[in-house]
Amino acid sequence: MRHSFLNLLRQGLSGHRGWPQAWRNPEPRRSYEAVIVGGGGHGLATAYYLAGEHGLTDVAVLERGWIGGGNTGRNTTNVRSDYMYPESAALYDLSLRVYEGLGRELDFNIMLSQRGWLFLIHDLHQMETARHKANWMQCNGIDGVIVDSAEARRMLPALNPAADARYPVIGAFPQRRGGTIRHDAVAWGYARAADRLGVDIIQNCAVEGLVMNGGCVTAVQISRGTIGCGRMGVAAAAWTARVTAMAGFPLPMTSHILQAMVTEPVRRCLDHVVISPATGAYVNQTRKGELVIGGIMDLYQSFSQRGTYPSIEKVVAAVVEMFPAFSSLKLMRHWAGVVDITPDRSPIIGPSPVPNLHLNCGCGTGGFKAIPAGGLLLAHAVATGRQHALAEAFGLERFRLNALVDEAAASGIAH
Amino acid sequence: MIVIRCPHCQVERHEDELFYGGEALPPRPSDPLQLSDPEWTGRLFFRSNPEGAVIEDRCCAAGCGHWFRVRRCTASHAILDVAPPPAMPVPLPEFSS
Ligand SMILES: Cc1cc2nc3c(=O)[nH]c(=O)nc-3n(C[C@H](O)[C@H](O)[C@H](O)COP(=O)(O)OP(=O)(O)OC[C@H]3O[C@@H](n4cnc5c(N)ncnc54)[C@H](O)[C@@H]3O)c2cc1C
Ligand SMILES: [Zn+2]
Repeated sequence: MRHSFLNLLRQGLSGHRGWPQAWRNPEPRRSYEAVIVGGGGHGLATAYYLAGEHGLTDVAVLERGWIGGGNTGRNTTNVRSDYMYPESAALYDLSLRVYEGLGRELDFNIMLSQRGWLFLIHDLHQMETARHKANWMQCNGIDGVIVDSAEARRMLPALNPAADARYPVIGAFPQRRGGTIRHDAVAWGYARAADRLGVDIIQNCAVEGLVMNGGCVTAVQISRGTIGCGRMGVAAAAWTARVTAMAGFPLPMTSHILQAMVTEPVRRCLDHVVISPATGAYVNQTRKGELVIGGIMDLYQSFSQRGTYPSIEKVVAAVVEMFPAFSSLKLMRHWAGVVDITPDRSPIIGPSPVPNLHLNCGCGTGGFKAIPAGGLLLAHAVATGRQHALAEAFGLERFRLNALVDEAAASGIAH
Repeated sequence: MIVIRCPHCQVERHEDELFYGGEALPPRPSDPLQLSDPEWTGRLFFRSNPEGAVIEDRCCAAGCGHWFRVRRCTASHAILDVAPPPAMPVPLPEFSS
């Protein structure tokens, strides 16, 4: 059933009891042409594009828990494409452009809100860096300008007004096409659309081992038995390296916790997404009125999916420094996700040492915004066996070749 | 919160007082040209990153300033063992491309 105005009206009047199941809950078949490991945004988008763009519908997505239960359902939903290096800008802007039309394409309201994404500049060094990045972005053909402090204050009336603020705002770098998207809706929208094209989405189904034959993966082991596969795409975020270890090779990634929190809802007081790398926090207001707050990643390795008090304290202190009035709000919820960090903070996409196994991982703290592009590029690799032109710079071999796409320097904070 | 007793000065410190130096690596080769490209790639970019016990370097930054090694569970954050570096040797990371 389409999410048309008429259907919404009809369902609204009848208590929303008539909606059909959004995706099936099939028993796994004995084998599939392609198996995708990980039912986060990247895995589900991959399956959707395999079926929709490449006509490959004999596909299963295997998800250990529930779809979107990993970082896709734990992130702070910021989207933008103001990356510095041309390779990254092309990737993330493709993603944002697809997101701009995705609600219509999937017939699922992803609640895209391009309210503007603002990066605060607190000192002359940051101003220099921002100018440098603005020039790069102009060369990359992506919008982004520097505004002065008066304009930043006009956009953010709640900003710390004190003349002697510890972190005075001397300007800001907005990307106006940036903003937020409802994260669950991305997972659910892709899942429903992939399911309609014939993809089997199998939840509560962890990949526990791989069966290798002649250097290729031929089947996956799950608790209920084995499922044969012609080829495989792995998009299991921080757990991708666990899966590749089953195929006999390691990945250059470490796992860390990244935390976020939400305050009680209040009336509209913040129009944009605001990030302050210098203080180490970022914040935006949801349509319900809650402030969603994120910040620094914990530096040490962790798979705990649990928060830590020192980081909560730092992030809250940074937000209150930016917006003193927020100090009177109560935090309602707080959570953590395990992010997959590569040495250059860029994703790993494409072929692996195993010829029929392809990768999409390492998006780390910023891969929600990359979901459409990650899905398109992994689907291309799985369907054709070749790297897509846009993914060439992001292959696993870049570490041996020392050809990094060093976005660590370009972004410097989680978002 | 991670709290560790420094094996040098014997004072308990919490995670913000202990500078984190990353997963522990074997000592740098005295002759860098002795390492092959793959070995350098492993050393620079690959870590074992286990879901379980990992050996990491920490520095008693707010205290005596000495480095030491910690064996810690990455799933529970429990501290399993603490010792000065030579007492906890580690292998060179594996590599793939
Ligand atoms: C607190 C926080 C805030 C963030 N904020 C932003 C933001 O504002 N903007 C942004 O762009 N990005 C943000 N991110 C990053 C973003 O959430 C991730 O990069 C993105 O969601 C990754 O999507 P994914 O599909 O690759 O991974 P996931 O959504 O984590 O999906 C991987 C899936 O694989 C499954 N899996 C793992 N092992 C197995 C196995 N053996 N068998 C079967 N399934 C398995 C997991 O259960 C999981 O569901 C944030 C992350 C966090 C934690
Ligand atoms: Zn000490």
